[in-house]
Amino acid sequence: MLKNETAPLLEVQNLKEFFKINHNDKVKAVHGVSFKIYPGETYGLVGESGSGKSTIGRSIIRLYDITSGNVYFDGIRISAGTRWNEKEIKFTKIRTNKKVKELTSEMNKEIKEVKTEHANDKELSNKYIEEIKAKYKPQIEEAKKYCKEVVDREKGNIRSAKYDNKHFEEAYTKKLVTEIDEKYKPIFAEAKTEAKQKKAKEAYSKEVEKAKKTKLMPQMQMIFQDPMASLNPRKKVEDIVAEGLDIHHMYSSLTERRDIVLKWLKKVGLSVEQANRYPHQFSGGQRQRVGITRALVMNPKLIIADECISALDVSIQAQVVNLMKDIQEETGVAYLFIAHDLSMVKYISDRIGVLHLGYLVETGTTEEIFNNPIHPYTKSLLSAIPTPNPEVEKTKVPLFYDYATSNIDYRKGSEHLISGTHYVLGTDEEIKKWQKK
Amino acid sequence: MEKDKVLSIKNLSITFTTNSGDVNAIRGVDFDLYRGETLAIVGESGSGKSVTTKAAIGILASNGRINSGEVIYSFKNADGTERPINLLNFSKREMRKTINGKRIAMIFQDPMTSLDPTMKIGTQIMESMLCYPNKLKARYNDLITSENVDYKFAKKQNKQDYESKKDLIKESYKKDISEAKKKNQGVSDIKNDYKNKLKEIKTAFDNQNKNLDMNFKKSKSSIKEDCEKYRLSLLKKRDDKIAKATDEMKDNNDEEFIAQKNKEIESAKRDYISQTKVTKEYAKSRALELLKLVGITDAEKRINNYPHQLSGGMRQRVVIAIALACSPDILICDEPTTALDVTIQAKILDLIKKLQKKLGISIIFITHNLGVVAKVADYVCVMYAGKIIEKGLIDEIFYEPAHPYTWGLLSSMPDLNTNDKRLYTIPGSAPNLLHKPQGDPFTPRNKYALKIDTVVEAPMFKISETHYASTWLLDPRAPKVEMPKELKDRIEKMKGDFKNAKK
Amino acid sequence: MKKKKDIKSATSELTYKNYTPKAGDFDFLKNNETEVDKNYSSQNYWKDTLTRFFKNKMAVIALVVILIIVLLAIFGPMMNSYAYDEVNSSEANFAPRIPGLEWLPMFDGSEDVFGNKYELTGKLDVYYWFGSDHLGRDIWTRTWQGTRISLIISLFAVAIDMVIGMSYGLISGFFGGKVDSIMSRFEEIINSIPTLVIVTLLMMVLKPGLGTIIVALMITGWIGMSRISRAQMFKLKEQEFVLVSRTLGAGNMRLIFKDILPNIIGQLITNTMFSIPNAIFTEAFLSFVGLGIPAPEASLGSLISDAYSKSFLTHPYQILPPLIVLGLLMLSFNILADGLRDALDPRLKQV
Repeated sequence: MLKNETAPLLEVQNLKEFFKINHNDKVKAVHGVSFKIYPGETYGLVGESGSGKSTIGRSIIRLYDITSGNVYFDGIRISAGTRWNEKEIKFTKIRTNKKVKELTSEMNKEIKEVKTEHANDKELSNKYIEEIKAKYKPQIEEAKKYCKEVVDREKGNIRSAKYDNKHFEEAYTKKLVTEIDEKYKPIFAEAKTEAKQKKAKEAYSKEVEKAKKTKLMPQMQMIFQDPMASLNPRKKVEDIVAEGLDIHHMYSSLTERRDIVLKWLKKVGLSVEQANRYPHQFSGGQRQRVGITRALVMNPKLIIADECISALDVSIQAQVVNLMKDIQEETGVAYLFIAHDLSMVKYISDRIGVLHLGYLVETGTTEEIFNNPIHPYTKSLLSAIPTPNPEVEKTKVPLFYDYATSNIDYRKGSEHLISGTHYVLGTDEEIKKWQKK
Repeated sequence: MEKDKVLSIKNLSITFTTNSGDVNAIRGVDFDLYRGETLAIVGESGSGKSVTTKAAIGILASNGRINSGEVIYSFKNADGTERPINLLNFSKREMRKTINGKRIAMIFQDPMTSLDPTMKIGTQIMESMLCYPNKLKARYNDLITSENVDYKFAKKQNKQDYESKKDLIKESYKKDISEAKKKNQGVSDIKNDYKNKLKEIKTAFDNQNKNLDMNFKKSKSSIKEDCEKYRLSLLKKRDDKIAKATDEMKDNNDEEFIAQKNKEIESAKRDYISQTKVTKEYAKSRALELLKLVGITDAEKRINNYPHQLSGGMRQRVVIAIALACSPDILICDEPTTALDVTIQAKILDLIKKLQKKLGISIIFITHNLGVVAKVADYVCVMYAGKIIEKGLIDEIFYEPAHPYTWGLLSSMPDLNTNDKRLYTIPGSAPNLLHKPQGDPFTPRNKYALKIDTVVEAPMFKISETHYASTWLLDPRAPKVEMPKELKDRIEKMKGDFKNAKK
Repeated sequence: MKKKKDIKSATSELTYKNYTPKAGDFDFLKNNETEVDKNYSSQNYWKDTLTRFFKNKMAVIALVVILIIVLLAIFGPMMNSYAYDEVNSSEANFAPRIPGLEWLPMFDGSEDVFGNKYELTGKLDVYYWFGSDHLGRDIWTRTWQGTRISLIISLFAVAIDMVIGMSYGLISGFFGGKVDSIMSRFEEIINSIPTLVIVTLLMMVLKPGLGTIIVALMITGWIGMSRISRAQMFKLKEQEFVLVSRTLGAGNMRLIFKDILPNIIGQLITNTMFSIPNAIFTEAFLSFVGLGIPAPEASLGSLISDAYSKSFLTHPYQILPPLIVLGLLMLSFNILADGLRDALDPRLKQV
């Protein structure tokens, strides 16, 4: 995969997610997570309950508004948070006010001195006062000008973020139309005869129409954890799977709809009769396959799988994971695979990110992380996985890692590059200590 | 050293009546549980693992019916004697008073819903201890229950014998009459004979009943006497101590001495109370002890917490503490770690093993995750569609599996060490037992199925003293089939890992 | 103790003990394409509900009773030649007399105190099946006419209540926050004013008649329905399948009416069934009190009121027909609603 040359399909920059419970308390779920996903690859996001992984998945698909940071999908910014900008404005104003106060008080002090010194000679004192004012005024003006610059810039950022949040579909359409324009420039230049011109114009307008109809968000789909709860118990499987098509009017006749649904159901391994049944008549693995079909019917570029295998038996998990890999080979879809079980993640992911308490503590390719885990949390996750080897299991002592007692503070850490694309969060001494082990 | 059996299930068969028909969920299960051992029951959802154990402790759903089988439990009495009795003959009341919680306890999958959200956890642990606070009465109940169960069962047997004998006699009478009519012989003889025979068996039945009643009365009265004696002996001990102390107090007037003697009197009284009643103080102190035993730090503070103030792992620990409150000797764990994160699962499994070593309890562990089984079990039973298809010691199952389903289960577990890009899976899903399967229900998913699998199910073939499997592939007439190559390689590698670790 | 028969007798089952393997039995099963993922079909939700409903005998009887009453309400007044407002003072206060059933002491036209008025006035070929009232009008015709009016009023009122109340509750529950607060406050204010006061004021302002009564019943009846649908909406709003539809891009109205509503329709139907007898009774009460349908129109309540005030002490038979019909209607609707509730909410858990 030419990672350096292709543009990332999904880019998450410094995503922060805070939830307000009441006007005093906040829950900080995600603290500044950044990663990229390239087309056709699988990124595994691993973490336990409370690590914020579901929050990340749901924020990316815009179920929640993000507090701070940016999310880019296919080059278009679909979600932006403004909290950081607002804070910047607030603090800059506070700082500027403080500085202005300081300067003003100094200026007044000097003026007072001059006044007391030259109390009798008013003309001289005035001259000195003017000089002092001339010295200080520009400094004050500069500080205020700087503050205004920052405030304006941040306000502009906030405005553009809010605009993007609402109008990204238009931005996407614009991008597609520009691409089509680029593509057709040489064709128009070549078309010398009337007929050719006309044909080129027809094809051009057709493509532009199609581009105007394509939307960006349906190209990102999500599969949920609980196979029973995510299917509407009163709807037939066919209706459940075709729901996305219905909402976005992506078919011209009912037979077309049924054909699309049946085609994908067959790919996933369900039969035609099963399309007319209700969710409660299926087993857990089959229900999850219905959920996957529902996502696939929209021809997405990215599928976010939010713990979609955790609720299944181990043997059925293997079936679903194999199915997802087959689909990826066939359609080139990318996955954001959120899970808490590192052993399954290893099979499906190209790259992995380990999440703990809202911080991304270790990232890298699958081989890098499994061959050389550095962070103690990653090591504890790996050692806790039970393997079907009785003799080893009975004598194994799993490594325990407790953040509260470990003297590690994630806020102080920064990203360190170990090798290739393997990054670890921590301070310099901690990294050295862990690498020695 | 002969290990003694604590629980033995023989040929259990259970059917559920549903709106859509009868479902024969358990079709013949046998296994034994020895003291101090952990038995793991492995299978997919729907294979019947939970139903078997629920039947054993009497919490089967109301539309379930036990067709046949026995659950023999080694019932330890209060006076130390032990005898095997069939738990299926217990009435619900007797189960409640003597077995549930006291001798067999169960923990379930979801720790949040296993705890009452409106009660403090301390209260919940003390609840089962304070259920039957009168110890003397509990002792009496214990002793009488086994007698009662046997008595009732014997009476039932007696009646059944009588009924079947009566039917036989009736049949032969009818035959004789019709024959006699054909031959135009006299029927009066036959009629008299018939009446006599009926009378005979009725008297026999009545006599037997009388015997049973008498024996039961005798044992009941002897038990009553015994309990009364026990109570009097406790009283006597207390009174003796008090008398002795008061005597000694008479002679000596030293304040300290008197205080000491008073203390002795108090302690004698307290001893009596603690031996005859379960007091709240005792329950509370035992609750604290249990919380410390399951590894909850700050037990004095935590005992007043509500369940929603604890994390998932801690809640499961509290559930384990509640189960152990009355010192049972069998603990049934129904997928206790499936809902927990991987690191917490490791901690809870460690805890369960530690407790087993410390308290010597036997554990039945139900799960669908073979890794967990590898960690905790000594003996494994693999269940499929309501039957045990392979059972053996843990080393035999993991290193020498014999049934194709076990091969499938072992292969579909992801391995952290190999670099396979594709997982092996067993195609399809577990069958719906609403429609009784012909032959072996695993046939549609079995790569190594034989023609005879569609006709008739295989018996349990013996591979070793402890290892049995129910597959026609072990029949001497069947073709020789080895386990798949990938699985074999993996097992070799695992054995190698183990040797390296040992070094 | 009866001997329980085994589910299958041991001799008929084929086990390895009584089976001799044939040649070729130990060969591999080729083409093992036996259906791996078989699902056995079971019924649709509504079919299941109907099966459960019909098992409940009381509910079925109640349904039949209601149907009979409805049929009589439609066809009853036409069954004999009297019109409901045909005043005939010479035939006032006649006892019930049914041709063919005159051997029963109830239906032979005689009364304890007044004797047999038919014989006394010589009108032997005149039959009043339920008797006649103080103005000589046929009670049979009036009873069924009254039932017709009562049913129309209550069904209309309840239907409108259901539509308004359901939508109000669904919208208020779905959006939550400020919208919900405002809508709930409004509802509480309306709820706190006593129904009778509103109805009385309405009666004084508007012309008394059928439409007015429907409006009066409707004004406060929707509140119960909206509360229920709001509560159900809260329960279902955060379910995962709603979240799924959101990620697929569904708009709010689609979510409310296509995804959530089918899941709560059971509760709503049950509640509707329970409010029909309420509406009937309220209307009857209003008529009884004098605020209802004006004469000569009849409704069950006004019939009871007339019979009570004009002739209860002298001719007690006049109050019986409308009273019995009213009682039967209310009882049957209640039982039907109970049966529906049990059928729509399966409580039996199966393995």
